[in-house]
Amino acid sequence: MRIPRSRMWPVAALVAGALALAGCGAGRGPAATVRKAGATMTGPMRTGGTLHFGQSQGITQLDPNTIASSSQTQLQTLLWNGLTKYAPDMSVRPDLATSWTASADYRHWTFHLRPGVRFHNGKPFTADDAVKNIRRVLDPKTAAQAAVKISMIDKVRAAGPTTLDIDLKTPNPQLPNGLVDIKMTDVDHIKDVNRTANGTGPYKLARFVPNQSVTVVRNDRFWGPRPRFDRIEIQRYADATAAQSAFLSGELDTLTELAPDTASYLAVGRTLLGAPQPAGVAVWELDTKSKPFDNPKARLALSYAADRAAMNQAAYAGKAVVNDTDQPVNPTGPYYDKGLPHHTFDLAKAKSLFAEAGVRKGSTLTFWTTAGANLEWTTMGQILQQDLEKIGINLQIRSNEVATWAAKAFPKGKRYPGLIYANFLSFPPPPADYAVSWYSNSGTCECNWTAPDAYEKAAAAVSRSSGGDRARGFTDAQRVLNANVPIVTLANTSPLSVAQKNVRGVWVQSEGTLHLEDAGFAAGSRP
Amino acid sequence: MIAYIARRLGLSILMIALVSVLVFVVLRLLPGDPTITRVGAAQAIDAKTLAAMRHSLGLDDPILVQYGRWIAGLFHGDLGQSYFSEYPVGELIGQRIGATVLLAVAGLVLGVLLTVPLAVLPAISRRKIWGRLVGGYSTVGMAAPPFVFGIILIAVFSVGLGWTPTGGYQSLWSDPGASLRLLALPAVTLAITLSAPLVHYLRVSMREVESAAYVRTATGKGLGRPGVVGGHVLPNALLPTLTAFGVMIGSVLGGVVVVEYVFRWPGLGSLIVDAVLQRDYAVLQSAVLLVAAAFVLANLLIDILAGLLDPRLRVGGARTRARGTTAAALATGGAR
Repeated sequence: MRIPRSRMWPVAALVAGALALAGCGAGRGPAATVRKAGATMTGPMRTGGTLHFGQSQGITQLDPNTIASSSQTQLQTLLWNGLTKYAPDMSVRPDLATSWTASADYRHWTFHLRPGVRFHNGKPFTADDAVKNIRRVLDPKTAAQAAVKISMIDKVRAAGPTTLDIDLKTPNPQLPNGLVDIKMTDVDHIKDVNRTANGTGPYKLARFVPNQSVTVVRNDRFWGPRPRFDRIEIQRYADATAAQSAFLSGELDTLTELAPDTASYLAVGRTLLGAPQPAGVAVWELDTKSKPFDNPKARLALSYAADRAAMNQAAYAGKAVVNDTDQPVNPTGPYYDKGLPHHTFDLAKAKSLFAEAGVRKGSTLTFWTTAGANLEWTTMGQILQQDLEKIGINLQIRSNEVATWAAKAFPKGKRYPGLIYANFLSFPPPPADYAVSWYSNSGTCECNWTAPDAYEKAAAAVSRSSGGDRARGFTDAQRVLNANVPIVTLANTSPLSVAQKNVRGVWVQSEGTLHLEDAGFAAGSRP
Repeated sequence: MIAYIARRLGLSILMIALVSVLVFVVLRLLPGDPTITRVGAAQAIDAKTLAAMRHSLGLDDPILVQYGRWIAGLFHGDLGQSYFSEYPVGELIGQRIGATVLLAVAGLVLGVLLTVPLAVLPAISRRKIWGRLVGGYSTVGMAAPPFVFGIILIAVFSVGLGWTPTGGYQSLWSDPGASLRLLALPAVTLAITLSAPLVHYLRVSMREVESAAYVRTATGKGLGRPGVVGGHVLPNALLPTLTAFGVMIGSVLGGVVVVEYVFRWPGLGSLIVDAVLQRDYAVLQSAVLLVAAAFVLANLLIDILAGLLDPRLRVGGARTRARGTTAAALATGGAR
C-alpha cells in the first residue's frame, strides 16, 4: 500500500515530538548503576532558599491525626511534633517529651514535656494539650488511623504543666513508639487546622490549596534548631511526565512517589531515595471467608504461583526486597525469622494445591487493582496472569479508580469471593507491634481471617512483652502467618524519591516518609 | 426575537435543573463513598467508625432529603463544604475559577485566531502545499490527545530551550508578566486542540460555499481571490462553524482538565476530576452544576447570535411553535 505524502506529515511531526522528548532526558550516564540510599549526602548546609518539592498525589486535608494518605506524611514532621519521634535508625527519641519513665510492669508511664514550646498561633504547649490530643485520637468519632497504635491507653492526665501521666489497660513497653504518630495540635482550635495547621513544628503553614499545593515557611520561634529553608513549596504534579520534566529541568529539588521504572533514569547524577530496610509490603489480600480462598491450600497455591523475582524486576526495577514467606516482616530485618519456609515460585506445586482446593483447569479468578495509580500492581497482576494461564487458570484483571478499588474489600467484613485484592500495607517496623496486631481477631485485616489461638498468644506477647519474649512473639506470629497465608506477601518496599545533588539532610523512614525538617541546601550551592 | 430568546432561556433553565438531578443521582450510584476515601482506606478503621462518619456527613439520609438540602442551600448561597478539606465549596471554586477562565478564554481566543487564517490560507493561495499542511495540522490536532502537545511543548520550550517554566499558575493581576509566561504553553496546547477540528469544519463549510452561484458571480465579475474568500466565502461559511464552536465549548472543558494536569494549572477541571476520584459529592455536584450552567449559557448566547445572523432560525423556531399551538388546539377541540 502506498501512503500519500500528505498523510506522512502528521506522522513525521509525532515522530519528531517523540524524539524531542526522548532527547531531553538522555545522555547522563547509565541508569543501571543507580542505587537507592536512605538519605541524601551529608555535609555543611546553608540557611535560606526555597525547596521545591513535587509529588503525584494531592494533599486533601491537613489534620495530622486523621491523615488520609501517604502523600501528606512529609508534612507530619515539618508542621507538627509528637511527644516522641523516630531517628534515621528508627530508634525512638525525645521530641516534645524530653524524657519518660515507666513502671516495672509497663502499665504506668510518666512523660516530662519540653518547657517553653508554643504553637504557631502563640499559645503555649502544655501537658493539657497533650491530654487533649491523645483523647481526641482515641475518640472513635475522630476516625484517627493512629488510634490503634495507642489503643492500650486507659487514662491520660496532666500532672503539671510539663508532666503527663498515662495508664495502660495492658502492659506495653513500646508506648513511646506508638506515640510517634500522635501529633500535637491546638485542639481548642482544631476547626482551623486546614487554615493554620496549629502545630509546634519548625515550619508554619503559609498557604494550602487542597489537592494542589502546600507552602510552609520557616517558624522563627521554633523551639529547636533553626530550620534552614526559608520556605518549602509542595506542588502536586498529576501528570508524571510533566513532573519528570520539571525535575530534569531543575525546577524541582525533590520529587517523590516515583514510578519505580523511571526512578533509576531520573536519579542518574542525583540521589535516589528509598527506605534502606522498607517496612511497607506489597500484598495480595484474599477473603479467607469465601471460596476458594477460605481454603488455606488455595492461598498457599497462589503464593507458589507468584514469580516474585520477575515481579521485583518488572514492577520495582529490582529495588524491592522479595518476601516469599507471606508475613510482613522485612526478610533483611533483625526480627525476621530466618527459619521460615519459603514459598518459592513453583507452578507445579501451585497447580496441585489449587486442584486440591477445588480450583481446577478453566477456573477464573479476578485481580482487583487500581487504575492511574500503583501501576506496579497491574504489572505484577499481568505476570501472575501469564503464569496462571500456563496451569489452565484464567485471571481477569480489573483496574478501578481508587474509590471503587477501596470499596471492594474495605473495611473488614466484606465478602469478595475469587478475588485477589492488590494492596500496599504501610506498617511501622518491629519492635512496633502494629503489623502483628493488625492480623489478630481484634485487628482490622480485610482478609477476614480468624486467627488461631497460637497467633493470638504471639500477638499478645509482641504487644505486652519486652526483650526476648517480644522477639519470640514476633517469631511465633511469623510462623503462624507463614503456615496459614491469610495474605500473600510479594515484596517489602517503600515509595521512591529523587533529590538534586545540592539537597542535604533528607532521610527516609522505613514506611517511606520523607523527613525534610532538618534538610537544607549544600553550603555554597545556588542562592 | 424576544419570544425566541425567552424560549431558549426557558429551555436552558430546564436543562440546568435536569443536570442537577442527574449529577446528584449518578454520583450516588457510583461504587465507593467519601468516608472510605477520606480515611484513605486505612488499615485501622472499622465499619462502625465509617458508619458514624456517614451519619455526621448526612450521607445516611434518604437521597431526596439530601437533594432537598443541597438545593435549599444553593438558593441561600451555601454550596456545602468539602468532606476532605472542610473548606466551603464556594471558596474552593473561587480559588480556581479565575485560573480556569483565564486559560479557557486565552485558549478560545488563540484557537479562533489560529483557525481563521489556517482555513483561509489554502483557499486564497490555491497552492496544494498549504492545503496539505493545514490538513495535516487538522488531522494531527484531532487525532492526538491534548497531553501529547503539552508534553512536546514542555520538552521543547521548557526543558530544551528553558524559555518558560514547565508549569504553574500566577494570577494575572498580581504579576501580569509571570502570568502570561506561565499561560503561554497551556493556552497554545488548548488552542491547538480547539482549532484543529474548527479548521476542519470551516474548510468543509468554505468548500460548500465556494460552489454557490454568488461566489461564481463574484469571481466572474473579476474580484480577486482574497476579495472573494474574505468578502463572500468566509462570512457565509462561518455560521455552521459558529454552531460547532458552541458545541465544542463543552469539549474544551475536557481538554482543559488534561491541560491543567500537564501544566499544573489549578483550575476547575482538576477540582472536578479530583472530587470524582475522592467521591467528594459536595464539591462535585456544585462544581459540575456551575460548569453545566456556563456551558448552557454559552450555547444560549451562540444560539441568540446565530438567530441574529440568520433570521431563518428565528422564523423556523416561530413556525415550530405555531405548529405546536395549532396541534394543541386541535387536540383539545378548540376552534381555529
